[in-house]
This record gives sequence, C-alpha cells and structure tokens, in this order.
Amino acid sequence: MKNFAAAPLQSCKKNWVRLISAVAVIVLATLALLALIYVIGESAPVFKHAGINFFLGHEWYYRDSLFGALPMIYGSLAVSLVALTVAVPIAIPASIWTAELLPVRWRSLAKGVIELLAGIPSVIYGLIAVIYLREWVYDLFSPWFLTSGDSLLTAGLILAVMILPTITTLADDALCSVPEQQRMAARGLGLNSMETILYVSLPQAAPGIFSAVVLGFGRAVGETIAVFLVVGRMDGQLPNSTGLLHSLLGTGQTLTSKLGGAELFLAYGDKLHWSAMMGLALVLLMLIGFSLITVTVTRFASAFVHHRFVATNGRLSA
Amino acid sequence: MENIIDILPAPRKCMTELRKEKLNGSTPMLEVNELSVSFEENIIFEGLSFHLKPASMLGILGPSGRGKSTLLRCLNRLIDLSPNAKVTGSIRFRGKNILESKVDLDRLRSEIGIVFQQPVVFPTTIAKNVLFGAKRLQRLSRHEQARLLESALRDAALWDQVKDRLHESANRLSVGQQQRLCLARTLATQPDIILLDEPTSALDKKTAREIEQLLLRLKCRYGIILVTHDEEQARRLCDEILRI
Amino acid sequence: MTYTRTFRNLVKYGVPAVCWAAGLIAVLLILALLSVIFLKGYHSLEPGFVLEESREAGASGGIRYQIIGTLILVLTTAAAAIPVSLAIGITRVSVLKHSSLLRHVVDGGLQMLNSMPSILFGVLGFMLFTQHFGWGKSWLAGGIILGLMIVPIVSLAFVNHLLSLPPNRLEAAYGLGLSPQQVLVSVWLPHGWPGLVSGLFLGLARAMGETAPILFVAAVFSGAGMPLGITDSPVLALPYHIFVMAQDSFDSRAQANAWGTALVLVMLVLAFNGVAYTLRMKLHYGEHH
Ligand SMILES: Nc1ncnc2c1ncn2[C@@H]1O[C@H](COP(=O)(O)OP(=O)(O)OP(=O)(O)O)[C@@H](O)[C@H]1O
Ligand SMILES: [Mg+2]
Repeated sequence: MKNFAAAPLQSCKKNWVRLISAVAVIVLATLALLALIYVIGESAPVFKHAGINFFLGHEWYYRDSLFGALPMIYGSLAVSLVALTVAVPIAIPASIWTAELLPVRWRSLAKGVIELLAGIPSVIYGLIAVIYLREWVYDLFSPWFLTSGDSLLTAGLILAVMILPTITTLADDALCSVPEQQRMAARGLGLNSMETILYVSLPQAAPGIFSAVVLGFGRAVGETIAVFLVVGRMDGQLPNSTGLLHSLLGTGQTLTSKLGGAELFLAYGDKLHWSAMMGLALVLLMLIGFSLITVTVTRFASAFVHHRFVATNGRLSA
Repeated sequence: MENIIDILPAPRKCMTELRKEKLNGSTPMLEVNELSVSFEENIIFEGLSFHLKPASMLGILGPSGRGKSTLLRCLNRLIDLSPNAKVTGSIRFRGKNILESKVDLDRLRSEIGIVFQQPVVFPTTIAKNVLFGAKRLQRLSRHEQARLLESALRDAALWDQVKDRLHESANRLSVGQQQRLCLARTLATQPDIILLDEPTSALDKKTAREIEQLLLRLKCRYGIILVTHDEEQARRLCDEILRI
Repeated sequence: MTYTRTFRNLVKYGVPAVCWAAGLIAVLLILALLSVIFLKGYHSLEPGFVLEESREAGASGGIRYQIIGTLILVLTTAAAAIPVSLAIGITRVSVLKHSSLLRHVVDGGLQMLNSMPSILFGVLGFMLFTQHFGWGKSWLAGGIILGLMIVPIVSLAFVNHLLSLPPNRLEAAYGLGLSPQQVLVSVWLPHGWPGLVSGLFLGLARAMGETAPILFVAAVFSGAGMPLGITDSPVLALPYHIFVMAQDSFDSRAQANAWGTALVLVMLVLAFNGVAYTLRMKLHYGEHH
C-alpha cells in the first residue's frame, strides 16, 4: 500500500482492464437495447392485427385470433391500486416513526426488521396468501357474492404487504435527508416536535415520499408469482354494471399472471399469438417506464428547487 | 476560566422614559447561575453566571469554539435536541428555573427567540417564512396575518426590499436578507428575549451597520443577547459584555 | 386561543399515536410472517427432509434435489454476475470519471434494470435460450438470467464501495505500470472486493428466491437430478417447488412439505442477507478506523 501511494501518477491510456470493461458495458447496453427492440418488433404484428383494440378490446381468444388486453391492464392497475391504498397509509406513518420518532439507536434496527419483509421471496408470500389470506377474504365476503377466495382484492392485499417495506424505507430515506437545521429552526420558533414533522419534514420530503410511492406502484405492477397464485387467472374480467367493488371481489387476470402462465409455451409456435404476448410485455414495460419517468421528473424538479437553495447558502461560505 | 462582566463606563442608551424606569428599578429578565455544559466527557464551559436586564443588550464575546452558540442554545433549551449534552446550574426566567423538567419547552422557545449563526430559511415564500411560527402559535385572521407580516418585516428593516415580492421564494434572497428574514420570523412570534448569534458575521461593513442600527431600535422593546466576535461592535451596541 | 391550543395538542399527541401504530403494525407483520413460516415449517425440518429425494409428487420424502438445484443456480448466478458487475463497476468508476452524462446513463440503466419485473427476464430467457438456442430447460440459462437480474445490485454495491475509498488510492496504484491481470488482481479486487462480495450475497439472496425468471427456462417440478449437460438439463429448485405445491395445496401432507421447503428457503435467504449485512457493517466500521 505504501509504495502504491508513493508511485508517481502516469497516464494509463493502455489500460486493458478498463478497455475490456468499457467494451463489455457497451456490449451489454447494446444487448439490453436489442431486447427492447425485440419486444417492440415482435409485438408489431398484433398491433397491425388488432390495432387500438389491443388496448381497448376485452376479449382474448387466441383460437379466434382475438387479442384484447384491456382486462389484463385493468387487472394490473386494480391490484396495484388496491395495494397502494392499503400500504401507503401504513408505510408513510411507519417511515415517520423510523425517521423522526425512534431514537437513533433503534432506528436502524427497526428499519432492518422492516427490510426483512422485502427479503422474503415472493413465492412465500404467495404460499401464505393461498393458505391464509384467500380463506380470510372468502370468509369475510362470502355472505355477499364471492365464489372463491381468489380475487383481485386478495392479490392486492398480498401485494400491499410486499410493497410496504419498499415504500417505508424509501420514504424514511427521504425524511432523513431533510437537513437537521430546518427542524432546529422550527423548534427554535416554538413549534412542537410533531408540528415540525408536519410543517417542515413532510413538506420537504414530499417529492421523495412521492417517488417512494411511485416505485412501490412499479414493484406491484411487476410482481408475478404471488399475484399468479391468488388472482384466479380468469380472462376477460372487467367491472360491469354490478360495480367496481364487485369486480375487485371477483377473479381477474393481470399482465404478469398472463405472461407467467402456460399460455406462453403455447404461444411461441404461433407468430400472432406470440406477438400478442410480447404486446403484453410491452404494456408492462410501459407501465414500469411510466413510473420510472415520474420518479426521474420528480427528482429533477426537486433538485432544481433544492439547487437554488444550496446555491444561496453557498454564498454564505464564500 | 475568566468570567468577567464588564460594566461599560458609558453604555449607549435608548432615550425613552419607559426604558429608564425599567433599567433602574427592575429585576433581571434572565438570571443565569453556575451554568455548565458538557458533551459527554468534553466540558464546554463551567460555572457561568450572568443576567440580562429588560430592554438592554448583553454582548457575549469569546474565541471561536468556546461555546457561545452552545450557550445560546441552553437559554431556550434547544440544546435538549442534542441528546449527548449535559447541562447543570440554573436559568431563571419569569421567576422559574427553566432547566427544570416540567417547563413547557415549546412555549419557552416562543418566548425566548433565537436567530442562528447561519440563516436557515424554509424553502417556501417570504411571507410564509415570516409567519411560519406565528400563525401556528396563535390563531390569526387574514387581516392580522397581513399586519403582523408587515410589522415584523419593518422591524427587521426588510420591508422596503421585499414588499413587492412577498410571495416569491425566500431562497432567492441574499444572505444578509435571509438573516434579517430569520430575525423577522422570530420577531413575529413576539418573544420577550431575542438571542442573536453573530448576526453580522457574513455581511459587509455597510450592511452590518444597518443591522446594528436595527438592533439599537429593537433594544427598547426586547431583551437581547448578542454573540459577536467583534469587540468594537459589542462596545457600540451592548450595555454589558460577558467574556467567556 | 383555546382552539389553537386544542389543535396543537391534537397534533402533538395524535401524530405520534398514528405513527407508532403504523410502525408497530409493520414490525408485527414481519414477526407474524416469520413465525408462521417457522411454526408451520419446523415439523418437517429433520435430516431426512433435507437429504431425501421427494416422492409422491412432493407429498412425502424430502427436498434433496431442490436444494442442490438451487445451489447450482446460485453458483451459476454468481459466476455470471461477477464478471459483468466487475466490468460495469470498473467502467463506472474509472472510464466515466469525466463524463457526467454517460455516468448518469449508466446509473439510470442500472436502475431501470433493477426495476424490471422478473417475469420479463423469464420471458426473454425463454425466447433466447430455450427456443432460439434450443437449449430447452437448462440450469445454465437459469443461472445466466438470474445473474443478469442481480447485476444492478452487485455492481452498485461495488461502485459505492469504490467511491467511498480515498480517491488517490486507486490512482496511485495505477501508476506502477502493471499488466492488466496485475491491475485487476492488485488494484480492483483487493480494494473493491468487500463491496463486490456484500453486493453479491445480497443479490444471490434475491436470486435464489425468484421463481418467475426460472419458470420457463430452468426449473421443473420433478424428474431431474444432477444436470449432466447444458441442453435439456433442467434442475429442481426450492422456489419453483413451493410454487407448484401451492397450486395444489389441498393435500395436507403436500402442504406440510411446502411449508418445510419455505422454511429452508427463508433460512437460506436470511443467511445470505446476514452475510451481506455483516460485511457491510464491517466495512462501515472499517472506514472509520
Ligand atoms: N452536539 C454536539 N456534540 C458534541 N460537541 C459539540 C456539539 N455541539 C457543539 N459541540 C462542541 O462545542 C464546542 C463549542 O461549539 P460552539 O458552536 O458553541 O462554539 P462557538 O463559540 O459558537 O464558536 P464560533 O464562534 O466558531 O461560532 C465546539 O468544540 C463544538 O465542537
Ligand atoms: Mg457559534
């Protein structure tokens, strides 16, 4: 180590390790791009075939070459929104709890325990949902119009548990990045600690908390296995005259559960059918892309505001 | 440790009858006795005693790192927010020792306002910054809010500069303006005592003079404790000086 | 005045009450989940369960080949992820030092890869390896897919660790005119390995629990032992086993078996996470001394 530090700095243009790494990264990026182009290219036939009806049609009978993805899109959005509705009201207060209320020593422990929740494989959430949650939902709602415990609601509930740690830890990070002097200034004015949280920490962490929620949404949309096991995987389910709640209590199909089903094997032989499956993958990609873009825009927008803030403070030290 | 209170030969006086009355007969607003602060093993200062009379200014002088800012944070118990600090002694304010545990700290902090060494503005508009504490400590009608906003900004000598941009971001203000904004924010909560931590350290001479004028005016209405590095400034402004 | 007092008190006591409740719900939830998995699974946890092959479609016997299959996948995943993450990490730290735009592109790409739904890896792997290369179901394809999936986790940990080092350390080592292998062995690996390894364990913990990527590509429910080649050499795997058993969970013996498998999987995942955590804590401690 000593002679490393003592060695003179030389130009290292002929550095093969760097060169090889850079080439490898370029190759990888190209591959990723190719994969994206492949998905888009392969899905082209179904858009030619069905046109806008791929997004708006609600019938999916591959034998009749009918490919309407609306029920799957609805299913994905429905389970994710149910998950957010349940998870966000717990996750945000829980993040305040870890970031602001717990003593520093307990904070990382509590956060670690909550992060354990994120480490459990999704198939195990699926197992728990199949064995417990499905029965509970059935018992709770069977007096009305439920035929089995498999439903969009069940899938949404298990997703809520799965995205809870994601949102909590990201929101906690956002809260912790609010400068301590800001809180100190509010306390100095005589606001109590809770008012400081409500009027100082939360508003300033709001962009980060919003991003946390959006990323939680992305995770929920992309989750396959746990949803697959309890969503019922029934094609063509859309809310009808009986109302939204009824539809949530019924079975459904999501983009991921369709892609994860045995139909994929079947589809590969048939160009149009495979193209329809790739179309589903593309819609899924667009939903994820949408959440990532939202997060990026939020980050840049708040960085812009924050930058001004830092810049003015910078003049102080100059 | 030297702990001398200089009574200056000719303290500059604010010539109101009211104030003279107060000065002569009145008891101190704040009495500090044998105050010591340590962070874990590290003793910052020990056995500090002084008092602050109504409508007067006490200057605190001392080398950097001596604990001046820490002392100010003791006086309204903001120091409680640093869990490793240990404070002993007594601070009497309104006849009570505020170091006791049953004091309403949030109330105390609104009565003893502080302006930090570095201005901390909230990332919102100028108007909202000024009313940030005030409108949450009491219920104010829109009309009262507008009045308070104006009077606080006038008292902080900022009104003329910002009256046309009250709803712009406070981050765009210069540092000197930000410092006065923080002062206005503190004044708006109507404290009895104001703790000022080097309010002119980041400013050029001219702006510093402006702030000094401002402080001389404020002195008639508030008890002020001023931390400064500038011996001359302390002599110009303060009735008493404490060296730590 | 009283209105203000009441409102302020509401905030002062209401907010912490809500937050404590929510935090305790989250913590209790995880404790409940873990204890369910443990209480349901520990009956099955005996030497026979780990060592025997499964029989009667998983209703009796053990999970020997599921464990072996998962370990094969884990090793392959590591083998696939390490070189790629090294390349990305080295590029990110050294080559892109001066271009913040490219750096953002690489970081953004990694984040995108990280938030890709795992089923998409499965579908693309199916298209490429299973069909296009004609491998059928193959352990190697599964490992490669999982390896690519965890690249963001591993390379980010590697990069963050390198960036947390004093900057001149790497630079100085570069000046010695070493050969490429020497540079790799004497600069990047000795300085970067702790970040690389802790990220690797984190990633492997995630990879070994994933079902969706290996669904079409690598895993079968029965009829596979040790794979002997590449083409048509599927493996059994713990998560896939649970996945199939959960779908016909009506036989109580099969259910017990599924819970036992779940417990084994969770213990493996926690162990890997534990290694990653300890390493990171060690690093953190080391930095301050
Ligand atoms: N929370 C804390 N924990 C440990 N030590 C602290 C803490 N806050 C302040 N100190 C220490 O207390 C001492 C006094 O700090 P303080 O900021 O009060 O000095 P000061 O007199 O205001 O200096 P300056 O004139 O530079 O502003 C310093 O040595 C500082 O490191
Ligand atoms: Mg100071």
